[in-house]
Amino acid sequence: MSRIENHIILGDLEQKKEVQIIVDGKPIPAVEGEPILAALLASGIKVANISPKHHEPRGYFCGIGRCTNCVMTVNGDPNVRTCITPVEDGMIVETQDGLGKWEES
Amino acid sequence: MLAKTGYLDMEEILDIPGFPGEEVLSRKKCVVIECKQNIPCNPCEDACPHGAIKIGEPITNLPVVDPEKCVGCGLCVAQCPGQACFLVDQSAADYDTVTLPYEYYPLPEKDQEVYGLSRAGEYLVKATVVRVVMTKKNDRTAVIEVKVPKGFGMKVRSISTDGKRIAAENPNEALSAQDVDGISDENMYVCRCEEITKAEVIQAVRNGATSVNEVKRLLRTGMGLCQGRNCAKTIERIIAQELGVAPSSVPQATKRGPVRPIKLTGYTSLDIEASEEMFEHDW
Repeated sequence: MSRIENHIILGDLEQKKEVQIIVDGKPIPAVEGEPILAALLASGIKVANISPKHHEPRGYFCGIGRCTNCVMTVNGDPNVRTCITPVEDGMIVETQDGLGKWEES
Repeated sequence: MLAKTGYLDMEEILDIPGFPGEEVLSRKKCVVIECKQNIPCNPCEDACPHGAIKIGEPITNLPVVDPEKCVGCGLCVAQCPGQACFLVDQSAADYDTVTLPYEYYPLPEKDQEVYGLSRAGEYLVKATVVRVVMTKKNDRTAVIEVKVPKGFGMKVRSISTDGKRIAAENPNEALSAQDVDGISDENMYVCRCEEITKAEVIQAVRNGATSVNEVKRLLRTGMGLCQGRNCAKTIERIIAQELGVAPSSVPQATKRGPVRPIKLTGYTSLDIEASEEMFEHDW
């Protein structure tokens, strides 16, 4: 999957600093300040977590931080809504299984 | 059909007040407003400099077209947020023209041959671009007039410039009306967090639940991560449908703060001293 570089309504994609995030151990390019989910989708990663009850893959649904379908474990914090959390350099993002766990517990 | 498939069929269009009638269209270029949902919206009324579109009070009225006042300028075509306004001209003997809003790159050019698509988005017939209007007033929505063969004026509602996509399209794969009717929504998730289906909610209502809170106590709907932000309204409707009452008469789910999920450190890091009146709540 690629990014939309020019869009009739949104205009041209701004040039911003490129950073790197670690997703399940693999480095993935991202643009500083964009939502984590945008970086994942641009790299073709669609599954954010595995649902707690039926163990089905879940990903992007509402995209505005309302539905919590895209939650992942970010820097050790479980249940972070990736669609509204901005990317920071060196972030460690992990696919979450079920409700997730805090690192120490 | 709009509720099932997401687009209008011709029979529905004949009934709506935004359709000026075949007789008018065979005589002159006139606006056709394919607007059937009573949403609070009236930019088309404001866009028309000749007062040919009337919504009035309340704002949820459907737009009514006065065909004698319409001059076919196309200002409403770009203004409609739902892209429901089109200009149709069936007065010529051997072709029809359709003016439609278009918000994709690349924009077609004048005299370019494009692919005319139906309301369902399926390829119907080849069309020729007559005019492309991209003015500042139209706010990034291009207004494109295409010439289509006679009889397609009320059928073509979008265009595509992508010949490869059209060639790859397999008409046998498209869903027919019967297929759509046959799809059951029983296994559709109502509460995505707790993974509760519509069938389970209906069963709970049949077992005696009459409010969103009662369904919640039986099934845990609305107790997941999103805290009922997505399912509360849907469950209200399902209960209303099952009990045969108005959705407004179904007791709503209890609403509690915070409105948006925030971290507890959002509270604990506040640089304020606790004072006596902070603990005086009237709830």
